[in-house]
Amino acid sequence: MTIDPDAPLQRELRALGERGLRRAAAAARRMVATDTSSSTPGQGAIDPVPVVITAQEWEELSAGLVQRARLLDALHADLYGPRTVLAGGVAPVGALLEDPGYLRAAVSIPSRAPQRLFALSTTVTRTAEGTWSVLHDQVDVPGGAGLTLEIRRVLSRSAPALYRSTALRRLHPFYESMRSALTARSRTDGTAGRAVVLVDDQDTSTGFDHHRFANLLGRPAVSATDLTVRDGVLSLQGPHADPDAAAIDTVVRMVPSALVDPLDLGPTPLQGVTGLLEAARRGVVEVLNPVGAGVLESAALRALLPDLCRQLLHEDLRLRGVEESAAPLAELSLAPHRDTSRASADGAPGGSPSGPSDGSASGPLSDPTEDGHLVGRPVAVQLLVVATEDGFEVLPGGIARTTDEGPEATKDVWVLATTEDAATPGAVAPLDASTASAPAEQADVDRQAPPALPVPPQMLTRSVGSDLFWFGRYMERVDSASRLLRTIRDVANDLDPERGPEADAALGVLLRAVADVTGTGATMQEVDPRDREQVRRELGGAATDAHRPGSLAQSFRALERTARSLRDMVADEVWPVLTRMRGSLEELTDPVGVIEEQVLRDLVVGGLGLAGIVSDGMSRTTGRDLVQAGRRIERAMGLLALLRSCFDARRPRRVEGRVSEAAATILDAASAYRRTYDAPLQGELLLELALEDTTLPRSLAFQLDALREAVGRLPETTTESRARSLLTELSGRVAGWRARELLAVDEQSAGAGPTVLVAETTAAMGTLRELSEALEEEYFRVPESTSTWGFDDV
Amino acid sequence: MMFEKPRPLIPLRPEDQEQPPPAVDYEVHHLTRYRYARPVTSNYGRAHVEPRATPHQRVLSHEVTVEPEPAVLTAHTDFYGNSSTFLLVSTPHEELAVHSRAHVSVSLPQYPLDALSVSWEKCTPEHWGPLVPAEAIDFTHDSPRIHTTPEVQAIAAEVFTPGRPVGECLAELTRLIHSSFTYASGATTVTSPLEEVLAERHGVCQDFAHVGLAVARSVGLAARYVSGYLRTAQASLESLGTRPDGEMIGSAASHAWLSVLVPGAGWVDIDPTNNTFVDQRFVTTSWGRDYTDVPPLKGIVVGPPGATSTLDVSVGVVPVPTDASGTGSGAPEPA
Repeated sequence: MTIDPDAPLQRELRALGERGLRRAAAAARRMVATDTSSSTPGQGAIDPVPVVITAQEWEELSAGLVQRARLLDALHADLYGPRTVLAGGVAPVGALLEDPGYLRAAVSIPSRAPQRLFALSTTVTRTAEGTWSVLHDQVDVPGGAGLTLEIRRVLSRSAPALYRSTALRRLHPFYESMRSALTARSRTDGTAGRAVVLVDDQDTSTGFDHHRFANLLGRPAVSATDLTVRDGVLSLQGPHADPDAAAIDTVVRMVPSALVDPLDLGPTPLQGVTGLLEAARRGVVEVLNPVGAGVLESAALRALLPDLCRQLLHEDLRLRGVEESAAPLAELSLAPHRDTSRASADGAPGGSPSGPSDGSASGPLSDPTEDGHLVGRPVAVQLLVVATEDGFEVLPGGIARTTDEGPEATKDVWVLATTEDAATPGAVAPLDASTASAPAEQADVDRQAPPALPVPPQMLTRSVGSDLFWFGRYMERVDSASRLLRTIRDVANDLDPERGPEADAALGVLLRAVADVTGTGATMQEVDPRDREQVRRELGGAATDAHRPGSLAQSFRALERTARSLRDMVADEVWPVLTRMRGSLEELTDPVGVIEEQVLRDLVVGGLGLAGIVSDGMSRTTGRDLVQAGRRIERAMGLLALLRSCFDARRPRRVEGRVSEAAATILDAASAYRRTYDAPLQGELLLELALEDTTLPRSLAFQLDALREAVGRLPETTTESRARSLLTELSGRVAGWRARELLAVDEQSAGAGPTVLVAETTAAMGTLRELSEALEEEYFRVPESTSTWGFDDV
Repeated sequence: MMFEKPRPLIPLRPEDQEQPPPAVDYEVHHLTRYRYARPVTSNYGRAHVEPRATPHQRVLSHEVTVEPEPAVLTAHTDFYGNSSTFLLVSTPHEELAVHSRAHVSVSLPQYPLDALSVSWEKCTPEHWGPLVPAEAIDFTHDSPRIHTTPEVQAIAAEVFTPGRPVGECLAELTRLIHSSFTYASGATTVTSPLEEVLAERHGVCQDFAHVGLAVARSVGLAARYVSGYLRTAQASLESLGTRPDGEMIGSAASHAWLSVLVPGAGWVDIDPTNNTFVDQRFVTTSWGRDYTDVPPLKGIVVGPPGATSTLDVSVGVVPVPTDASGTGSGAPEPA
């Protein structure tokens, strides 16, 4: 254990005690889950007890890491250049040539800076003898930059006392020099360059870290489909693409090398950027880390680094690999939960258990100390090295992960400040609690990663545009499903005492409305409204069955997925709302499968929260217009489907009354109705209101107004916009609607319903669907297909 | 049986030979056209069509032209020392034409008797000595298209019998593939996975080369895939795409064979498709571990969905007088 027993940190740890530490751990974990919008269960615990590295130790360790970076950099330059090491008798030639990471297509690509590598991430461990040794390197896609800051941020909030106790090196200055290094590197011919960060949106395990890295670099995160090589330059595709503004000269690559260029590296699931490798070879773009850097992760190479270091750098290797005999040092850690201590910890006020996996898999404790709750656990420390203008620099902090058999915990890594650091303004976290009411790193975060960076319009790429549009659509889908279910659940309950044919008929109409509006399940149509057990089961399924298309759970998942790929394009406040909604959804049904009313209400409120963020938290850009267009189309379609289901037949007055009442509740129209008509609720008047009242936020007229406004502001891509003409067509159709005429019934035919209403609403919904497709076509879809030729021809 | 399919003659360097046979000059044309049903917007291509210098081949000139006017047309030396050409066409087009022209001079490869007389076991990496570059180990490994299968081992057991001289092994390998595999000719042919070729016992020249590579590597020898051309009929240069010259197969398009490393002799090229050691009829463009390292021409086209293409390839390798500067029609060439 490396924390000095007399150190202030030790005193604070004692003062916090088990209860305080567990509370801080739980809070930190909740914050991370919220920020990362991680829905993957089993994410490890966060341990507030840091791994402490003294200033002296750090000097040695970071010097070793810098040397290692220089060595790997020199190896990269050689392996993709003259390949002298392959002839020199030192390198493991056979193993290197057999390594799938050695991409032969990536040879002779120039570098703009003295270093070829931009960043690498090395995982080290401290041995019982007190020396550091290397476990492995991440060079192809170096991770950890974003997560390091996140761990620091949440722990400095959840355990502020610990962070005030000790002077430690701050992360902020490092990120600053990392950003200016990239700026310097992307500057060509004296003009500022354009850099983007290439990420894989659908990779949920690294998505947060990579997006935060992009944010720290101050560059947009893009996916491969957003980039093309045309006329010899790399450019960004999107609704706004001004060819000059969109030319990219630096790509920070956060997707594996082998997946970036289908022409030279073979087919890739991410589609890739055809011709990227050649663009890099011609020097019009620099890819960082360079394509093929993964070969430096080779285990065979690692074993021979001491010899290669002498051959290439004429130095002795400072940081050795882990020797099998060396026992890792046990670092002071919060003991994993034991079942006995669990109850008390979870009983902490405000500390509702954040997940079922929290500590439930705890193993036996090997080495409890006298404190009981603090034990020694071996850890691996991931550290980031970045090429700056002054050479390689090491981030003074990192991520520590436990490596023993127990449940994995993640820890912060503290590098203690020296007196010299203290003289440098901003390098050391302030000790004085009074000047740091918000802990220091939090201020860093606020400066480093401003919530929802305003995105310049030309940065709106196709994939982002499409995600924004669908974010709007899924948002409304979740909203309409939760409103419908909430109201129907009420109706089903209210009707219970006075069960009769009319009540059952009304419930039957509403159940069909659920099927119609959400599109979930044909089974809903066949439910016998008199069988309340079956009704409850069906409603439960429509709410919670994530595999059922159109269900509330499924729509919510889709909403989360699009939000995740948008990341910093949506306001930060979206994450806590989504996290709460996910929590609600998990508790939606009681053990017998009955929907909890309160929980549905929470979901409706959550939906309003998201709508509020879009309205008030997003700047008036094309991105917001796309969200709005998506919302309005979806809401209009839901409304039309609801009205069609409710009024598609003539029904006994009392049945119609109940149905209208439910519809008025779903549409939030009850009070507007009272204001507008001095009459009891009637179907025809409600229909009129729902179609024509421009002041009612859920009316059709309101949707069309908002839709025209949003679509009108979108940049014109063609002179003959199909979307615009469809919108005009729809407006014309709807303008001719009169509630009375829509509901008219041809008395001649027996049992007839209002055929005009059915035909008109169906046609309008069809036009809305076409409109949605036309918008996608015009703004998001890649209009062309890509095919390979000659790959197998002789 | 053995007499019906005699093993090819091993090209040995006569002890008393003072002057090797004179070199032969060739004019090489390789024209590839893709026609699209609807105009396409961009076309990206990678070509390995430039002949490379070898101990037996000099490249006097080379040029690639692309129609329509390419936005980018560059070449670099790839990992294996081949010239690798990149082309990018960014203007809408309905036809893409890639025309490669070269003037080369090829001399007859001949190998020292003593090097080809050592047993094949003495040709594996541990016997290479300091003169063989360490990187050659690359050609002993599995590669994207090459790996050892039971069928490969069966052929290897037949060819590489203990103590057999390596020259004899290579001749036998060439003969065996030629006699036990059927050449599947066709206007457009495509390479197949090794297993399929071995199971169905037929393929095109690329497949025959792959079988040879797999067998040679399975016993630990270094063997590389060679891509190039064969001399075509003695026709005029104007009519590209001339028919194959008599018994030689594969000359209407690009050709492929394999080369095996023999310490003391260097790389020895054999062509199982034509049951011969490589001689002055062969023009070498590039080599790699297998076909995937050096396809003559491959690319990615971006265009409207369903813009299907038709392919037209023609190759001409015509002998020209050694003192000519690459013009004129094919002069008679003594065999």
